[in-house]
Amino acid sequence: MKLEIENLSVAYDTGAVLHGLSLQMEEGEFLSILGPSGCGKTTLMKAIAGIVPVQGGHIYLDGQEITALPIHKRGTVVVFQDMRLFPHKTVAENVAFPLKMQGVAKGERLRRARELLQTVQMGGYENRRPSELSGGQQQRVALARALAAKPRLLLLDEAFSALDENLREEMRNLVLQLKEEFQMTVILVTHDREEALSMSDRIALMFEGRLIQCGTPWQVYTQPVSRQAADYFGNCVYLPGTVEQGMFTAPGIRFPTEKAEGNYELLLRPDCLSILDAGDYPVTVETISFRGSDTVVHLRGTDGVLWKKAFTGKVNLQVGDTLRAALTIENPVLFEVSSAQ
Amino acid sequence: MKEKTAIILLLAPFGLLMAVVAAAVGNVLVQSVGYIPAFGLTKPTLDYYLQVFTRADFLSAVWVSLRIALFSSVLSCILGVLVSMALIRCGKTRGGILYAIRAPILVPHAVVAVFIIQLLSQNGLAARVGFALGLLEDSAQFPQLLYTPGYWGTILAYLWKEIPFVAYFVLAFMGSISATLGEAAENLGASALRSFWEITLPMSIPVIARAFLIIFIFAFGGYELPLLLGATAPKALSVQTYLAYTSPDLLQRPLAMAMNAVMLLLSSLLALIFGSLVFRLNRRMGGGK
Amino acid sequence: MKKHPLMKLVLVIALGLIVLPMAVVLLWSVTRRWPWPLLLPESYTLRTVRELLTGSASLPKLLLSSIGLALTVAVLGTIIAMMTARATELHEFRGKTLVRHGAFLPLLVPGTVFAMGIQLTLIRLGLSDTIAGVILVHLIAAVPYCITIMTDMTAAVGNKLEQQAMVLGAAPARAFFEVTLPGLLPGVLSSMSMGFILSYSQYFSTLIIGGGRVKTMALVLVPYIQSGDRALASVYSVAFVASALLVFFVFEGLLHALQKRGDRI
Repeated sequence: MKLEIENLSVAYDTGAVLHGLSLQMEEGEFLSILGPSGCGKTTLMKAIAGIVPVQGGHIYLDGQEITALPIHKRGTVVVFQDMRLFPHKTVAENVAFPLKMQGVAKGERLRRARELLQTVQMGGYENRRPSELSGGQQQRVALARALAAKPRLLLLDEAFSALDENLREEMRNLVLQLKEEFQMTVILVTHDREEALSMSDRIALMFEGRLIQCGTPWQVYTQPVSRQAADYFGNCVYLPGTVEQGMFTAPGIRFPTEKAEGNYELLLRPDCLSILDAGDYPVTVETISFRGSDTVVHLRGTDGVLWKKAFTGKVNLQVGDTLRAALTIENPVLFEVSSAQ
Repeated sequence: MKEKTAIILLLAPFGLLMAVVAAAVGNVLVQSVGYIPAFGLTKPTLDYYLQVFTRADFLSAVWVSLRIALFSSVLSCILGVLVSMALIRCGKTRGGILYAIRAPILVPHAVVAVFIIQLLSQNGLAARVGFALGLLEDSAQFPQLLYTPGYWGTILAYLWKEIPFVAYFVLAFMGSISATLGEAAENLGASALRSFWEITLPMSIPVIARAFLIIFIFAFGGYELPLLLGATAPKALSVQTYLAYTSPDLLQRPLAMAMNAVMLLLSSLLALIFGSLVFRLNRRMGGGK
Repeated sequence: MKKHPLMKLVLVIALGLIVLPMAVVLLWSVTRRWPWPLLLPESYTLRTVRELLTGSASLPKLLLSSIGLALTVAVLGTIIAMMTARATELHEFRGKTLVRHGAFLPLLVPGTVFAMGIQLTLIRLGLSDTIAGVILVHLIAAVPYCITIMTDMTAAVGNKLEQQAMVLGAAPARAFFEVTLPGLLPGVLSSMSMGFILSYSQYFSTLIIGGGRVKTMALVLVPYIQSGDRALASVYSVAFVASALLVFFVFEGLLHALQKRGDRI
């Protein structure tokens, strides 16, 4: 067990931010803490790094309790969203900074800094000032500096969101590559679903200071524990129906389930809908918008449900067309509708 | 062209004030070479400067004022930065305590003189406390801080007012550095003290230098405090100058102006040195944020 | 961040050293006798307060003229600063950086040097021994600080909203008063409070340019200190500081109310 968080509570003057949160992480794992802004994910990261004081709970790293350890003795190194390179130091001095703090001699630490800069493809920039670098270059230096601290746990705080699209992809790959090379345990704090889904071994989904769900990207996406969790990944369509005698029934759909009897909503995503087949679920084309790489078509079911489906290639549809679509459901997810509503 | 008119109109009052400052400086310089037609002095001469530099009372006045300014500004900056860091570390960068810290900025210098007299004169509260604790047997044993050539009373008065000024002046900047870069340094393995020395302090030097310069020049030319708390001899430069300025002997007037000119010169020189220092520091930090 | 006990101690000492002299002066202001080596006065009196209220320098008149003068300086200084900041922050012209740096120049001229230097000119202009003359020299002391505050504020507010208002049909002056000025208000208030304090505590320049005709608190207090009457010096000090704090907190209260309103929007 590499990182273990038990019942962690953090409160600011303005109120509680984390409510008794628990989380475990394996050695060498890449975990994303995903959630909307204000959900407390950055606070969680800062609590792990010791930057904010905690009101209750425990944090263990490699079995050692670090809850009361001062920031600089934790080895939980953060790459901040705004990089936080020291503007009065050169690039090499920045990277050498953690080594200086460890008491490494000057020549040795500058040599190590040069090496690390090479690893992040920033060789030759040793004597520049941070202000002379582009955003992507600064990010590489910040990464190298974090590596120099030999992190027991590397924390990436929305690390890529300040970069533009193309650079982001490149940096993500670099981080994954460095993670393998240095065999690091990494936590990525992000609100970007795609980023979390594509990079992580596991995702911890957070809302309002609580951990809602923790699992592999596949689990979290396909088996969300609540409508809130499902909606966060977007593109959800819900078909209302009922469970009676072990069967869920909705217009055009019927399958067995183990849920108790009552009213439910079935979670569907656009990939469940196929319009090329002659199925028994009629839909009408409402809008067609061409977006370059694909075309998004809004389809309205007879039950009033709106589907947004993306097609690649030429779309031979007209607004107003009625199609006979089909629904295929592999791992159905049902959410109970409380009778009060 | 319309924009040009707007700019000129907007800058007009500022320009007027600057013209007044320029006029004052010009008057000082012109009168200091002995050109005051109103007094019947029309022949420019450097004699007054020569006199100023050879008169013992003037030279000691320069020394007194430099000493006051140097002690006040250096100690204010060191202690003010300390108080500022204490505020930041204790998370008190707004609200109640900050108002208390700002209070001395609002207290006029003359009132500070009253404070110092009541606390630090030989029969002041500090001496009484010393007596009550059995540290002194007599008020005369309390060190003479006031009305002495050491000008310690004056310096302490400036400290009372300027330490909080520095603390408040640098607080916002140091606070933001400490919360971002300082935090990053600690995260990379620096202790709180190390992070202060390596990151927060060096980054804050331009701001601290500005506070230093403001205090230095103010204390260097300050009038009330050395007047009220200082010795009769040697006098502080401003007090000495004003004495000459108001002398019934009109020939003292150009002498006073020569002293003023020297004061101006020293202030500007210091500002120039500091200005270039700060400029270079800012450049090194890439324009400086 | 962990609270350091040493840092807490520093704060406690600082607060003690700030509050202690104020408490002592308060005590002194109603002291009849306080002989050595007593730690507290032996007997108290209200003589000083009577003297303050009814004495040669009547307090209400004195306060009115002092505060009136300082407020005038505060308002004028802030208007000048606002205009200057608008020119340097929202317009492009050659010499812009010169103006920005020039604003600090008055700080490099010691107050005594400036006052002695300008007196002759003011006499010639008929401004010596007048309130107008005193306002002018106080402005020189206040404006650099006001400009610093207003420059930051103007740069932060910018003219985006003003342009938006004009696009929506507001005349330039209207757009400024409707949109930009409300945005600048927090800066305006801190600039005014700064200007007030700087003028309120001026001594030398008021003495030399006011020529005794313009009476302010500072001018009245200094002779009492020089005469060695600690009780009277204290009672004037109390009135001086209390009135300064009062005006300051009015500004601060307005600022607070403003920010609260801003939060709600």
